Amino acid sequence: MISLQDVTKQYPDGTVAVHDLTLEIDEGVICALVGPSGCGKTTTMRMINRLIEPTSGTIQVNGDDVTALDVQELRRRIGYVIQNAGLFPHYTVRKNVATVCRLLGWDEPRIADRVDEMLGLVDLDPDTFGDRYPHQLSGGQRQRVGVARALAADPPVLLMDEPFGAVDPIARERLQDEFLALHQRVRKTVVLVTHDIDEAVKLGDRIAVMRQGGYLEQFDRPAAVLGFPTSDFVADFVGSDRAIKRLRVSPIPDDALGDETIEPVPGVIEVPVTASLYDLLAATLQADSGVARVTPSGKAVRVGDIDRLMMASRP
Amino acid sequence: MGVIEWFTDPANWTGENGIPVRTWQQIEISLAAMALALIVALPVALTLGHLRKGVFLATNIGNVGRAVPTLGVLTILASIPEIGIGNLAAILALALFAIPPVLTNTYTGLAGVDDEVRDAARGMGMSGMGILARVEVPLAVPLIAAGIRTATVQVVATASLAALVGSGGLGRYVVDGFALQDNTLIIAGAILTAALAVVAELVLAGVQRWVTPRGLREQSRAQIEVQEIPAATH
Repeated sequence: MISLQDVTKQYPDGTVAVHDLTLEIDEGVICALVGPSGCGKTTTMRMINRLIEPTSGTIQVNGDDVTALDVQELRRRIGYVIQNAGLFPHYTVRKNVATVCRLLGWDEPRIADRVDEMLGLVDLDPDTFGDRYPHQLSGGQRQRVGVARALAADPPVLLMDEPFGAVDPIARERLQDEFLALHQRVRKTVVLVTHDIDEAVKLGDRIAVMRQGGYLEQFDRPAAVLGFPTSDFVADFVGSDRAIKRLRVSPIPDDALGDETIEPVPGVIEVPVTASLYDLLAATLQADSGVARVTPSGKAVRVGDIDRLMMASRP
Repeated sequence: MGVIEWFTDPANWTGENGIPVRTWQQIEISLAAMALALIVALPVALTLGHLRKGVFLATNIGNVGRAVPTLGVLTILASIPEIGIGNLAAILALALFAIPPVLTNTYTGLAGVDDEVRDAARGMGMSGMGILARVEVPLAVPLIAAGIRTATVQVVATASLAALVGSGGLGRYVVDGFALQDNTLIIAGAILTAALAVVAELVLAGVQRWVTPRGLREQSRAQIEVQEIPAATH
C-alpha cells in the first residue's frame, strides 16, 4: 500500500534526515515510526504526502509514485492528523470536518451527512458539538475532531504525527483505545509517528524503530521488537522493562499450556484464552492460590509457567 | 464671533465654503489616500506574510514611516511641477503616511498564524491561494483591520494639512483662519477635524468587529476570561 524505496532526505546544509530508507507497509496496517527526536520519523512521514520532498528514492502509495501525482490531489487522498489537531480556529467543528470534502467539491447535502457520520464515529454528538468552535473544546475533543476531519473524505491512507501527544495521560489512553476500535471499523493504512515506545507497541501492527541520522534499526511486529531487538540501540530504546511490555502484546499460546486442569473455584482467577500473557501473569500474581485458570479449556497456569509460555509465544 | 455662534450660523452650513462641502472634501481626500495606500501595501504585505519572507522590510518600513515628516513630504511633492499644488500632492503624501501601519500590521497578522494550522491546511491539500484566502487572511483580520483603522484615523486627522498646498477639506478653515487672524475659524476647523477623526474611529471599530470571524471574537473573549481566573486565585 505504501512503499518507500531507498529514500534519502538530505538538506542543503548537508544534514541527512533520512538515510536510504526502505519500508513496505501493507494495506490496513498501522505502522508506528518510533525513535528519539532527530531520528527522521516525522520527515519520513511528511515525505509520504510530499510536505517534504525526498532527495532521492521513490515513494509509492497504492502503486502510484507520489511525485507523479498532483501534490494537492495526493494530499486530499491522504488523511493528516497532527499533534495539536491544527483545527481552524475560525471554523466551527462541522466546517473543520468538512474541509477536505469541500476541496473535493462534494455537494452540500452529502457533506452534511458525512460530517455527522464522522462526528458520530469519533463519539462526538453532532448536535452538541457541531456548531462549537475549537477553543470551546477540550484537548481530547479537539483531537477527535482532528481525526474526524482526516477521515471525512474516506482516504485509504492516514498519516498521524504524535496524534495523542498533547493530551493528558488518562485522555491519551482513552483516545488510543478508541482509535484502535475505530481502526477495526475503517481499516485504513496508518503511518503513526511517536516518540513513545509504549504508544507504538499499543497501536502499531508493525513498528519501525529509527535512530538519529535517519537510520531504520528494526522493522517488525511489536512482540518481535520487544522480544528480539536486533541491536543494542533498539534494546536500549525499548527499555529495560521490555519483557513486561512484550507480555502485553503476546497472546496466550493455547497449545503450549500444560496438561493440568483446574476447576473454577474461589481463589482462582479466570482468564480468557484471547487475553494477553500480561493479563495471565497479573491473574497468577493476584490469585491467593497463585493459580490462574484459562477459559474455556480450564488449564491451570502458575507464575513460574509464564517464562516458558513467553518463549512459546514467539512471534 | 464665538465658536458656538459660528457653528449655529446657517451661512456656514451652505455653499462652497460650508461645513458639509468641506467635510466631504476631507473624506474624499482621505478615502483616495487610503485606497492608494491599500493598493500598494496589501499585495506586498500579503505576499511577504504568506511566504514569511522580508521580516526586516515589513517591520522596518513601519519605523521609517513614523519618522518621515508628513508636512515635509507634502511640501516636496507640491513643489514637483508634475504633481503641483492641490489634491494630488495631498493624496500622495497621505498615502505614504498610511502605508506603514497597514503593511506592518498585515504582515504581522499573517506571520502570526499558528504554524500547525498552516501545516494542517497544506497537508489536507489546500493550494497556496486557498490557504491565504481561507485560513491566513481570516485569522489575520483583527490585526489587518486594526492597521487600516489606525492608518485611516491618522489620515483623516492629517488631511487638514492638504489645505496648506491649496486643496480643500477642513484644513481650509484653519489656514484661512490664520490668514484672516480669525481664531474662531481656526478653532472651528480644529474641532471639525477632530470630530471627523473620532467618527472614523468609531465607524471602523464597528467594521473591525463585524469582519472578525465569530470563532475569533469568542476566542479573544474566552482568553480574557481565562486570564482573569489565575488573578482571582492569588
